[in-house]
Amino acid sequence: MNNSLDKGLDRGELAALMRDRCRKYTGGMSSSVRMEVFEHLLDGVLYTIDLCEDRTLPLAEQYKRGRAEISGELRRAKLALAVARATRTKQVCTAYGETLDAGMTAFFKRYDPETSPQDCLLTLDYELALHPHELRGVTKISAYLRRLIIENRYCTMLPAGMLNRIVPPDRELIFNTFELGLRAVILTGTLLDIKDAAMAQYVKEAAKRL
Amino acid sequence: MNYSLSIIEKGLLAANTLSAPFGLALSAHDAAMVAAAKLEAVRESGRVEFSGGVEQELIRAFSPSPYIEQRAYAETLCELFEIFYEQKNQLPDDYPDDDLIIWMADAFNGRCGGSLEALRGLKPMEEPWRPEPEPDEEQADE
Repeated sequence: MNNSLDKGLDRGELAALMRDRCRKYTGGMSSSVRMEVFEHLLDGVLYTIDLCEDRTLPLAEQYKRGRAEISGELRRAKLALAVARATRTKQVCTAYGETLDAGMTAFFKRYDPETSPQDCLLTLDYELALHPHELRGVTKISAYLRRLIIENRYCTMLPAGMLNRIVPPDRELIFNTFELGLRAVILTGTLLDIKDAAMAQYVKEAAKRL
Repeated sequence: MNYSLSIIEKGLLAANTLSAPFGLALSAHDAAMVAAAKLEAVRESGRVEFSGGVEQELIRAFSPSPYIEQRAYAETLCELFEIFYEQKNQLPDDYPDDDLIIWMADAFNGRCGGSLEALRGLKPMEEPWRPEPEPDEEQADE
């Protein structure tokens, strides 16, 4: 419960919320849960509450709004997945395809906003240039997909044949195609006409980390 | 988040109405001792109690037992709570408290012959052991 103190949450309200979560988790059949289960549920509640921006609301209302936010984020993430797949880059490692296809399909099938909203379930083996390490749950998946779309679109802007020349022939190796392309653009002094502000910002940040 | 001692004590004293017909009752002093033991059992088992009612269900199920006597009633309850939470840890998270309590009472009065040690040694919801029929007996039946 230390987290609740750090966040300045009302302990009474949090206890009531946790009673409700535990009751739902056990289907109302048990009066106690194992400590690790309790901590997992508490982590999920804190994750959900964090998604509500209005801290003045009662905790139960913050939780309710957080849940609505998760539902919205799930819808946005599903849409982003469709776009990421539609814009997929061809010159990629095996991990790219595995993450985008089987991995993401499994996520949307198994994600549980009720008991484990904080879990993102996937290891996201295809690491992005600006990987959302700091995020969790559907928030992480959604950010991952939005950033992947930017990387995909950037790759389509590269001069024809560039990626074929620079990606490793062994596709089992894990490499980030966008980073390889960005490095090649910088080294060759290629000029790209980036009109999208989000992409321009992403490229700038990624270039700093090369 | 566990229930406070005073709430558990009140629940135990209220359950005297369930046990009284069987000649069993807790004094205020006993109730305080059992409440403390119950809370300790919850802690020891590494569980968090978020809702009450277990003490009443346990007393309701065990009071009719011919093996429980008034002189050891409080101590028996303390042990039963310990066993209950130990057994809970071996069951799925959504396993009903009531079912476990009924099973415990049935086993205690039946195959355990009133022995708390024997009850503690059982695996929750374990089927009663029955001797395998002798091969000769099987043949004889055929």
